[in-house]
Amino acid sequence: MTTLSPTDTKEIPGVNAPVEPVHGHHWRNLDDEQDGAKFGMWLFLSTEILLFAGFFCAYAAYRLWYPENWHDASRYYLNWKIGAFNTVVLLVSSFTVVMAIRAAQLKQRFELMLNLTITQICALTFLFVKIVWEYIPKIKKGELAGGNYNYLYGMQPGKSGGGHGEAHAAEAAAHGAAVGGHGAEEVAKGLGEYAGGPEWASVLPSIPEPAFFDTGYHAFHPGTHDHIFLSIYWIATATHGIHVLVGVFVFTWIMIKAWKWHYGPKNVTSLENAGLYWHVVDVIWIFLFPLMYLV
Amino acid sequence: MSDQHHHDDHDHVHVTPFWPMFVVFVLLIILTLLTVWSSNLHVIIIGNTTLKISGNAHILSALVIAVVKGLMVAAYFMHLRYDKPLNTVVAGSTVFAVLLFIGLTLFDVASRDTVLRKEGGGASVVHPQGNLNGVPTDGAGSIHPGGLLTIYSGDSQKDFKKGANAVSIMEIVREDAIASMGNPDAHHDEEHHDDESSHADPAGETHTEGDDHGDGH
Repeated sequence: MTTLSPTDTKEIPGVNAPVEPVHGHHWRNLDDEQDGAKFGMWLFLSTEILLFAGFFCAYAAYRLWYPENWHDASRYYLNWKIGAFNTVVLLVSSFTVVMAIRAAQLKQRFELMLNLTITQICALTFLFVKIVWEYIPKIKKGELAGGNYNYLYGMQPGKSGGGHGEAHAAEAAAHGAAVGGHGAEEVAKGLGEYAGGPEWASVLPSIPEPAFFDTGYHAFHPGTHDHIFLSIYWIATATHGIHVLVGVFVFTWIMIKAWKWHYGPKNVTSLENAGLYWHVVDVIWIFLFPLMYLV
Repeated sequence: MSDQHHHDDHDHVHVTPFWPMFVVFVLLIILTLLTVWSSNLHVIIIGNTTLKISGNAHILSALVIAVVKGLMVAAYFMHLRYDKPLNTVVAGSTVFAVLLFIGLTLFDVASRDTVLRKEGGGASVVHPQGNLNGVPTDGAGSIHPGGLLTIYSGDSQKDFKKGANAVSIMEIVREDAIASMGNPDAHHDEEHHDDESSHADPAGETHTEGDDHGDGH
């Protein structure tokens, strides 16, 4: 890397200054090209929003049909503190993306790299918290989507961690009877029949949940349509999680470009477009969080 | 050529301002906390009056706050406020499409019956607008009566709650057909009996008894 003496203030593009953007010759000027790129990104984002609209539609239909089941299932299977933490993490990452754009426009290299790094860290934190404290425990306990659902794992004597299977079973049976005919039958049938999570789930690590996330809610509410609730939960949050993961790769690419002085006052387009994608991911989570975790 | 570059670029370089973005960020966090707090709020007591907040109200308030947050992210973080209007047109049409998608689906879904199988055979039809047979429900009957667009007033409201006016030909045919799905010996006759006695037939033109019973077997 060329070092400059204190009296040398010459800016060399690609070395200590942003590279000059060149617009393609099929464009009238650079602004048109950049506006076009952004417009194209918005068109793609509308398809992403409609993708998630499908999941929200399924949510609305099933919630309309089984509101009490939904209410109980949301409180039993999902931890709102984890959801709230992830929401804040994503909001921070959205803010730092905007600040990264600002830094690039002001030729502030350090702030640019710092904000992009924080964005990445937030994305990875989101994925970590989600996988380690939501997905893995659910897979191990058999709280899976649709026909894969085996929620009475803990009801078998000796199967759950510490032999309180019988106590839970009695509580569940009593509760099932209170809920209605269906509940008691399912509970009675489940004892001894359900094996819990899949066998291969034992290779997944089991990291204990920090006390920070403990909601103190441990009541057991079997519902007749829990498997549908979990189906919608899994498909919506997993698709969203894949989008976050893709965002991690996108921002890695962006960070490499930023390191090579690609971004400057005249060209932040690809950074802006990556930011737009990230904001859509954030907005989708803003809607997913209250609908799945809170209400 | 280079002159053109120069003029156009400087016209459009708009440095993202710090303070508006930071204020938006802080508001987003505050609204998140507000959502969490309001979802735990079930009862408001003012003096002698107790206001019970229903589950539907929780959903509505959560959605309203989420929409406000989404709009703030779109307008400021996604730069729509400072961009050309065309981007807002795209975003707005997308939102419109989503509303059509979910809204029109709900018109259908919210006015359909739910079929619940009963132990020992047979099933009951639970109408989302009220429980017509007095059968314990899975909660579908607890939806706010009226689905999305029905308006009740005066006497029609009382009658509707009794289940008198909400009978349609589809419902009676299905009751019949469903009764034969499970255990015909135990419940079949009872189902028929219930149909005839508890459902008033306001206009008298909905069905002919003979056809339904024949098909139901």
